[in-house]
Parts: sequence; C-alpha cells; structure tokens
Amino acid sequence: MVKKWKSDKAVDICNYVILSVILVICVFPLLYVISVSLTPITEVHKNGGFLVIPRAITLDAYKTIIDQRMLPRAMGITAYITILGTVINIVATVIMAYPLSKRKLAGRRFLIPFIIFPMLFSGGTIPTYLLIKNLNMIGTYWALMIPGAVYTYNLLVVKAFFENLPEELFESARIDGANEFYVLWKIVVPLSKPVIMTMVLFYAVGHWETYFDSIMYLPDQNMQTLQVVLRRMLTPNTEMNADITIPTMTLQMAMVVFTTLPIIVIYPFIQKYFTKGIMLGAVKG
Amino acid sequence: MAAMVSLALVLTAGCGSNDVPGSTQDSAKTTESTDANEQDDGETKPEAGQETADGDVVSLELVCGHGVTLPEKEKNFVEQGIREAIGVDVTMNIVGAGADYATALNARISGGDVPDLFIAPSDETLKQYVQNGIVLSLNDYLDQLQPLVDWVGGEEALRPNYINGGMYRVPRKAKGSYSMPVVRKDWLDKVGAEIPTTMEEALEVAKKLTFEDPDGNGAQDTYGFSGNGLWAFNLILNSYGGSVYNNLVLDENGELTSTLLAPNMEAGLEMCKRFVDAGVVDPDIVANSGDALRDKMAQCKVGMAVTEWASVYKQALMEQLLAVDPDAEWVWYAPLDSGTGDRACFDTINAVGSKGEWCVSAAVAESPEKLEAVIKLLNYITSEEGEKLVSYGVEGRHYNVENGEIVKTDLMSTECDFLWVYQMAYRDDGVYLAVKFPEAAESIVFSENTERMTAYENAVIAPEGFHAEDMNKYITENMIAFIFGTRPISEYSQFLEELNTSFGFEDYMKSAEEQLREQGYIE
Repeated sequence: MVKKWKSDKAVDICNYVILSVILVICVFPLLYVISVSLTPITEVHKNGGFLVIPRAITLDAYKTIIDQRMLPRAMGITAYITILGTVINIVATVIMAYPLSKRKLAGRRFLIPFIIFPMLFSGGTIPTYLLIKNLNMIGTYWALMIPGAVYTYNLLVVKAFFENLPEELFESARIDGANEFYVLWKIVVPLSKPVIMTMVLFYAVGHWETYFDSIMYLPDQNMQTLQVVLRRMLTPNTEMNADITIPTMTLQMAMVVFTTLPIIVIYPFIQKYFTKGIMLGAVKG
Repeated sequence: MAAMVSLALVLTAGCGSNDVPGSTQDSAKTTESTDANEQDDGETKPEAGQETADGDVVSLELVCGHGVTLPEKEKNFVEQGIREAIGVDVTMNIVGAGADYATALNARISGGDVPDLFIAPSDETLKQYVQNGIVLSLNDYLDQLQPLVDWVGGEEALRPNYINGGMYRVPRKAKGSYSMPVVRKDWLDKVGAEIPTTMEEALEVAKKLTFEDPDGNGAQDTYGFSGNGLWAFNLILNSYGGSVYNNLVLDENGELTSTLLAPNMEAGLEMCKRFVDAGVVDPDIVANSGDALRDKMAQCKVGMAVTEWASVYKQALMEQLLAVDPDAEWVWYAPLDSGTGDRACFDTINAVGSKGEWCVSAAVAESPEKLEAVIKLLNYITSEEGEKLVSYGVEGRHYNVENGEIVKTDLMSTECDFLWVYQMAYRDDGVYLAVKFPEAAESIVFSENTERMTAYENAVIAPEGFHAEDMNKYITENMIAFIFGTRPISEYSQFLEELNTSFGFEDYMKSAEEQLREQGYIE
C-alpha cells in the first residue's frame, strides 16, 4: 500500500512538472503579447523588440484603438452577429440533430451521407456567392448567419450525444403523454447542457472571428465586422505609399489582445462543460 | 412527425437549398430594406441616392482592396464634397486586401455584380477581364475626358494604360520614386568613417559598422547593410547598369536593352556577393517588411539602410527612430560610384508615366447617366477644386490657403489619412508631399533629384504567350541565388539562356523594341 502511494505521488509530481512546462509554453506568447501592448514603443525598442515583464506601462495603444473610427461600430456589429448567430446555430443544430439521433427515423440512412457530403466537398467560393446573392442576402447580416447555421461536424457531435441519452427516459415521458417537442425541450436539452455549451463556444468563436464572409457579402463599409476593420488597421498596403504609417509593434499587439480578449474572458465560464461535452459526444461519434 | 417537420425545415438551412423557410426569408428582406446604403445588383438602374436629394442623383460604387479605414459614410467629407460639386453619389467600398480582395472581387464579378469602378487585383486578372468584356475601353470617351488627359500629361501619358489597343485603365499621373539610401552619421563619426561615395568605400563602411561596435554596447549586434527586400541590392547593381529586375533601359547608344543584359551585371553581382561574404548584410534583408526594417533601425541594429524617405523622415517615424538613441542621426547619401564607368544611380523612374490602377465596368456604358457620372467624376478629381478635395480635404478645416500656398492644419494629420484612395488619377506628388510632410521636405527634394534609371517597360505590352509574372519570379529566385552564393555567378550567361528558352525573353525584347520604335522612344 505504502509503495503504491509513493508511486502515485511520483506520477503526480511528474504530471505537475509536465503540465507546468506546457502551461509556461502556452502562457508565454500570451504574456509577451500583453506585455508589448502595454509598454511604450520606446521601451520595446530599447529591449530589442522583446520583453516579458513591462518596466513601464501605458494604455496609449488601447486608447488609439478605441479612438479609431469605425471600431466601436464594428464591435457592436460583431457582438450582434455573435449573439444572434449563435442562437440560430444552436436552435438549428439541436432540432436537426435530435431526429437524426433516432434510429427509427425513416430515411435516416439516406439523410446522413447527404449531410456529411457538404462537409467534405464544399460548393466553392463562386457558387456559394451566387447562392447567397440569389437568396438576396448580399449586404445583409443574414449572409453571415444563415448559410453556416448548421456546421456538419458540430451536428454529428450533438447527434452522437443525443444517441447516448437513455431511451427509457423518452419512453416514460411519452407514456405520460409528452410529444416530441416537449421531450426535446424538457428532457433532451436540459440533459445536454455540456454539449450545447460546447457548441455555443465553437459557434460563438466562429462568429467572433468572421472575416472572409464579411468581406464577401457585406460591401458596405458601415457594416463590416471587427476582424475586417482590425486587419485593415494592422496591415496597410505594402507598396510604397507616403500616406501610410504602419502601426507600431505596440499597437499591433494591442489589437491582438483587443480581439482575443472577449473570447478569453468567456472561455473559463464555458470550459467546465467543454471537456465533458466533447468527450461524451465522441464516445459514439 | 413533428421531428420530421423540424428536420425538413432545418435541412434547407444547413444544406443551402433555395427554399429558405418563409419566416427567415421575410425577416432577411426587412433588414435589407432598412439598411440604407445598399449594394446594387449589377443592373444599371437608378438607386439609393435618388430618394435623398434633388431627384436625379446617380450612384457610383467604387471598389478597391487597399488597406485603409474610411470614415463612416455620413462623416465622409470626400464623398459629400463630390456629391455637392457634381451631383454624383460616390460610395467607396473596401473589399479585403491582397489575395482576399482578388477572391472576393472575382466572386462578385462572376456573380454579375461588377462595381462601376474598381481596381483589378493584378495585370493578369485585368487582361482576363478585358478578354471577357467586363472592363470598358475609354478610347471612345477620350474627348469627353480631355481635362483628365491633360492633367495626367497628355496623350503620351496614356500609353501604359492600353491593353490590346483599348485604354482599359483610368490614366494617372506619374508616380516618382521615394527610395534612398541612409546611414547613421553619428556611428560613422564613432568608427572614424565618412559617408561613402564609391562601392569600395561603402563596403569598408559597412564592415566598420558591423564589426567595430558602433553602438558601443560591447556586443557585435549590428549589421552594416540592410533593407526591405531584394531590391535593396539595386543600390549596388544599378550603378553597374544592372538590376535585380528586368528593367528596360536605353544604353549609351540609345539602343534598347534590359538591365539583365548590362555588360557589367556580373561585376555588380560579384560586388553584392562581396557584401554578403563580408558578413555585413542583414541576413533577413530579403524577408524584411517595411516595419521590420524600421524596427531594426529604431533598435540600433542597422548602420546603412536602403529604404525610402517616407519610412524615415516623417515626423511620427523619426520620433520612433530616435526613441532608443536620441543621438541617432540618419542622413541620406547619393548613389554610389562603381568605378566601371556606369552612371551612379539608384532605382528607376518610368519614362512613360505610371499604369493606372482603376478601371471602369463595361456595364456603365449601357446607362447614359452612369457613363456621364463616371466622366464627371474623373474630370472632377483632376480639376483644381476636386484635386484639392481628394488631396487636402476641406478648406478651412484641413488646410488654409496662405499667400497662395496650401498650409495644413492639425486636423489634416488626423482626419485625412484615407484621402489617397480617392486619388484615382494620382496627384501632383511634389506639391502634395511638401504640404503633407513639411518636416520631410529636404529629403523629398533629395529623393526627387536622385539619379535614377529611366525605365520603359510600362510602354511595352507583353506579346501573346509571354508570362511576365512567371519570368519575374524565376529572375528573383536566381538573383537571390547569385547574390547569396547558392548559384555561382559564372553561370550567369547560362541563366540568361534559360530565360530565352523557358520564357521567351528574346522574343519579348524584340517585341519591346518594335513597340518602342513605333512610339518614337527609340530611333
């Protein structure tokens, strides 16, 4: 017994050491980015462009970002797309995954390959553009939310999770007179919080990072999303152009923090569901 | 049953069928109609602007992929100014940048949404657009565009804009070169060296700035020679009559030749290699971006840099360059003498003006109102009033006229950094730069007066089947190999032979000579 306890401890120590190393590897770049964003550019240059702990702190870079035209508007737009888009994603994914998780669903064997196919082979940029255009979605925020409402991979994870729920629960509910919507809403969804929260995270991050769709489908400058506006500030033209001053390293890093911060902030709240959801879904996936 | 219904509903969304559920479609439409500035759908119908003002405002959509942030539409004083002056509602849309721009624009054009005016992502793409009849040839409208033509420099300046006999690019004024070499004068003083005037002196200076610890920190952490890109070596090669590019130039007899064929090209490459072999060249020189070079200069890691005045002498940049070492003194110097008898010079200027960036959609010609609006717009931005608007902003706010000269206000620095996107026919660079960057005035004048090579390639239209982009890529790869010693310079003649056999370089040169003779550039 004592021996086993010792070896347990050795494993623990080993784990802690390895995890600490991984932690440092993960945190270091983040720390670097945050430090540079908070340091006056002169101080950054004095350190040869590299520093981990800032010796002087300034919020100038963040102030510059906030003062940028278009940015507050782009923030609001992206938040809107993220929230509404994620709601659409979740509703669509859940109501699609639920029937597919039922073995007795007629035509299920035909439907599943039909759903998986576009995950492997997409229509291509131009056909997709034509589709969105013919749906009259160009220049509307719907173009950023509707076409990607169900992401096949996420659908399969949710479907696998639903398949793992014990059938007896549904039977007893049905005996009590519950219809499918009631079962879905009152039994499946509350039991599936882990997988749903995971999907919220996946979809929300995707919406927050919307870049190319925004360029493609929203020609109006007043409607562009955060990433587009930030990218424009970050990488102006490379050709010789006297009018452009490339932003300083400090400003570039501040933009990185600015875009990732909201995701970093919400992550811890969703994380507890996150690991659980993926694991449970994956068992049968 | 209910499950089946909901499944069917969602399937349509997921798999992207045309049958979007009614409710979604309706709400999409509602949102669309409430968003004021809407896209047009490629049809030439009167739209958005109409309801707002005097009844017959024509809207034009301009699309480009420049990295610039425009003000919100309602605060865009340029678009407002244009509308007030000529009654055309212009909307500039920035659609990504670089490769993203090309993809997005091609998708739009394939979908029939051709913007009224736009920038073609590359020469090759523009050729395709021309072949597919997407772009309007301005040949038939030259008399109506006379103010623009006169402004850019007359008929001669139109030449670079022709493709297959049609003028498919909006002509623009010639763009000068801003490039110049600079050196840390304070470091030269420390290591006991003078500003170099010859190649040999430059090599010696670069060695001292690398190995004699000019920053006095006890560590060997400086590089004598840096730049941002392979073109930095043109500081050396141009003075040998050569270049890292295929520039078409006239030799002393007035005969057309390429810089790649310069008699002293190999000697020039040898000199570049001597710099590399001496260990004085920044190893990142080819990969450095403009801001990477700026940061290295600010961090006191570079002694001589091949750059441009706009990357050094603008006030905001100078503050950064002096941040670490307030005594840093960056001075420019003249092109170096190679001792071969070739004229000391650096970088090229175009003999025949610059290629235009913008082109006009062919669909514009189908609508007389749009066509008129485009002509009005192009003539307006080159008129005295319009040029001021797109160059300096609003009088009284962004600039004042004092004794006939334009003097910028502080607001010009903060509110006018996007104006250049509207300079579709460019600008009078000399005056413009002096107004915008008075702090850099001396360096601008020096850059303007620097000895340059005069290049003619802009007047040449590549013959059928000649792929300039492929050949240029091959040239670049080999120049790097020669300079950094991965391919012996003794194989240079073999390299030229490869250009002939693989890319048809000789045929290109022949065609170029014929074309330039026709145009009267050579006799």
